Parts: sequence; C-alpha cells; structure tokens
Amino acid sequence: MLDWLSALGITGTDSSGLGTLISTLMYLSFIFFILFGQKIQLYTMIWNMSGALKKLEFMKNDAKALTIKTLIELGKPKEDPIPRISALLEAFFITPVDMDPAGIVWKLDHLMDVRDNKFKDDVKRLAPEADNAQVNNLENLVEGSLALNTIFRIVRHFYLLGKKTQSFYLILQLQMILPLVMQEAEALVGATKAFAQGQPIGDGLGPLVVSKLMKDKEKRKVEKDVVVSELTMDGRNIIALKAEGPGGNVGKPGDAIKQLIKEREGKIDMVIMIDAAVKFEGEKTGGISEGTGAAIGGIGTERFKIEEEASKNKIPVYAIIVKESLQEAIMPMKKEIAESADNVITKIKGLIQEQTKEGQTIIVAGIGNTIGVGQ
Amino acid sequence: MEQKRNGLYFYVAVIFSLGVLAYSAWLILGSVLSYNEGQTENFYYSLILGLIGVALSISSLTTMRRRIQIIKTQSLKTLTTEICEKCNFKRVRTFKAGDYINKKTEACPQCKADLTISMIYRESPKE
Repeated sequence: MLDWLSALGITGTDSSGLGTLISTLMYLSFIFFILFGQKIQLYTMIWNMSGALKKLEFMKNDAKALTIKTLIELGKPKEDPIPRISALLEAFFITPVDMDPAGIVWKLDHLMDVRDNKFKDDVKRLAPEADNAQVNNLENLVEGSLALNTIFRIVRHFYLLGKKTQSFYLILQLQMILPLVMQEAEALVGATKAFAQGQPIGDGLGPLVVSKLMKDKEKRKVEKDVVVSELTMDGRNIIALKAEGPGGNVGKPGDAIKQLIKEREGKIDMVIMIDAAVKFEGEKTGGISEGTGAAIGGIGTERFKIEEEASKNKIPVYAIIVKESLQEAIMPMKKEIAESADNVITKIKGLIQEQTKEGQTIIVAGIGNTIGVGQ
Repeated sequence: MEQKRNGLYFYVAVIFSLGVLAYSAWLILGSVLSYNEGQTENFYYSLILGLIGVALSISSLTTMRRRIQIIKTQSLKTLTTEICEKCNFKRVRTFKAGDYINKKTEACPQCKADLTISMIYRESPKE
C-alpha cells in the first residue's frame, strides 16, 4: 500500500502530496454525502429495522409455540389446535362509529362483551379439559400472543412499505418509535410466560391488596366475574371487591360498583379505588400516590359507569395508585410492588379515618388483572 | 446443548474483541513512535487503523454487555413465599405452576397448621 502511494508521489518525504490526497478525499466525501447522505441513512435504518423485525418474528413465534404447548398440556384438545389458534391470532375488533358519540359507551361495552365471550368460548373449545381458572389464564395467554402478532404485522407492514417506496420519512417514523415498540414486545414475551404459568403480574396489585382485606371473610359473586366481601375497619363498613381469581381476569368492576350502590339505594359514603398506574421515568417502582377520581384503565367503559353512578349519588371517589412502568405492569410482579400492598392498606386506613365517620359504608375496589391472586 | 454453543460463541467473541482492542492500542502506540521518528505516512496509517480498531472493539464489547444484562434479566426466578399464620413460620421457594396467593399448600413443619402462600414475586436483579 505504502509502496503504491510512494509510486504515486503522495507519500515519502514529500508531505504536501499526502495533504493533497487527504483534502481531495475530504472534498469527494463531502460531495458524496450531499448526494447520497439520505440514501445511506435510509439503508442504515432499513438494515436496523430488518434486525428488529427478525427479533419480533422470533418473539411472536416463541409466544405462539408457548400458547400451543400450554393449550395442549392443560386443555388436552381432541383435534389439532394449531389452525384454530392461528385464526385466533388474526382476530380483530371493530370499534363503534363515533360520528355521533351519544351512547357510544354502551355500544362499545356491548361489543367488548361479545368479543370477550367469543374469545372465551373459542379458548374453552380448544381446551376442553381446562378448569375455569386455567381457561382464563389461557385466554390471557392467547391475548398476549395476539398482541405480539399484531405488533409484528404492523411493523412488517411499514417496513415493507418504506422499503418499497424508498420513503425516508415513512421509515424514519417507524425508526423513532421502534425502541418503545421493542420494549413493549419484550414485556409481552414476559407476560405470556407469566400467563402460561399463572404467575401474578404487576397489574395485579389492586386485587392483591383487596385479597388481603377479604382473607377468611365470606365472599359472594356479583356482576360478571367480581367477588365481594364485607368487613369492618376502624368502625366503618367496608365492601371490598376484586375480580374473581386466581385465573387471569379483570372482571367488570364498573358494573359491580353500580350494582352495590343500587343495592344500598345510594347509601355509600366513599369509593376507594386501588390500581397500578404508569410511573414517569426516574420514579421509584412501588411508590404510592393518593388522588381523586376513578383509577381504572382499559378503554374507558368501566370508568364511565363508575363516574356516572358516583356523580348521580354524590359519592366521593378516591384513588390510591402504586407506580410501575408499562412493562412492569404486564410482567411477573416485582418484589417492590408485592411489598407495597401492606403500605396501601395503611393508606386506606388513613383515608377512611380522615374522610369518613364510624358506621359509614365504603367501597374498596381492587382494580387489575387478578392472575395468580386468589381471594 | 444450544445454550452451551451460544455461551462458547459469546466467550470467543469477547476474547476476539479484546484482542482487536489490544492490537489497536499497540498500533496507536506505534503511530506515536513513527511520528517521533518523522515517518509521517506510517503515523497516519497506524493511527487511522488503530482508531478504527478501537471504535469497532468498543462497539462490540458494549453490545455484548447489553446482551449480558438482557440475559441476566431473563434468567430471574419467580419466588413463592409461604407463611404459617399460627407460628409465623416463613419459607421462600421457587414458584411452581398452580401456586397462587392465598392458596393453602401443606402442613407447617413446625406446628402442623396450614401454610398459606402470601406472596409471589420475581426476584430483583443484583446491582
């Protein structure tokens, strides 16, 4: 190489030759990057995304394989479940038209019920030998696989579209959100493993707190998949409710609270809702915050019902939340979250002492997925 | 078997990256000596190669470190805590399928009352 450069007269003792070469290279690279810089960036992004897409495909296949394995182990299907599972993983949901939003909550609630019932029936058919709790866990497992499959299909769609059209901005948008999408997908992989084994997840904090309150108390079932216990705390009557566990289930706490308020003809003095809520980056997992309003996630139908019933009867609604990230909420429960349950009970006691009098009635609702949490 | 092969590949990659890093450092040192001796062409040649080598090996080692962290997080165990409400006996064991909070498991080894699962959690990664 050096001999070759010497032959060209740009090395050796004559250092000005080397300077000429370097400055020529600089000019050439400058012109090259002006002309092809964006193309190079586009191909780099496409290359990165192709790696991420392969990873997503692996995750989705892994989750599907786990779903099939668990379904066969727990449900002992008589026929080959693979074609039916493949069809379930492509299932979709059409939300009601919102051009005229009046009454949309009830339409959405109805459509969600139809979807949930159909999903559960399909899983029951696939796993005839599974008991109720196992069917709920399997349903959650299929939902997790479906979510991973959907993420993969969307990312692949935009990747291929960007590659086909060579659109820098299309690829750029996907590239910008890709780290968050990958984080979500990795959390979903963790969630499917938890669902397959019936382990409590971070979102189960609300049911965990209420299960501690209702332990060894008499229980009864109210609205769809919700259990209720009555107890006393510091002279107040507490009605504690959570989704029926230990199968993966969120129940319909909105309907349950509405029913309980109606049963007591509106004579409820306070509603306290316990839920896991998304923390900001930098905040400590398991930290507790108090606030007002209905602490419940999802698409909003259950929150609407609680807000409507509470405002109709002028019942104050308080919320106690435990902070965790979106990923922690769907992955197996961390120790910090599990340990915060006792502190939440202390907060509930403080709240009822400050805001209510002895003899008054309070609803304490544990919101979230009750997988791995009995009552 | 697959895991063993992956582990071997990992160690080979780390050793290779460290080798490249060491060779690149040696090239940079050589370039300084060339500069002192007035060999400009050798100086540029070794310096550029050395810097490229350092950048590549550091990038490779950083990726490897990230992979170790991911593997560590994935290998975290889920634990089940059982307690006896009568004598406060407490036992922590690995989670097994079928465990759930408030489940009565077996007789307490101390007082023969029922052990109840009080907590199920994923262990935290070591700092």
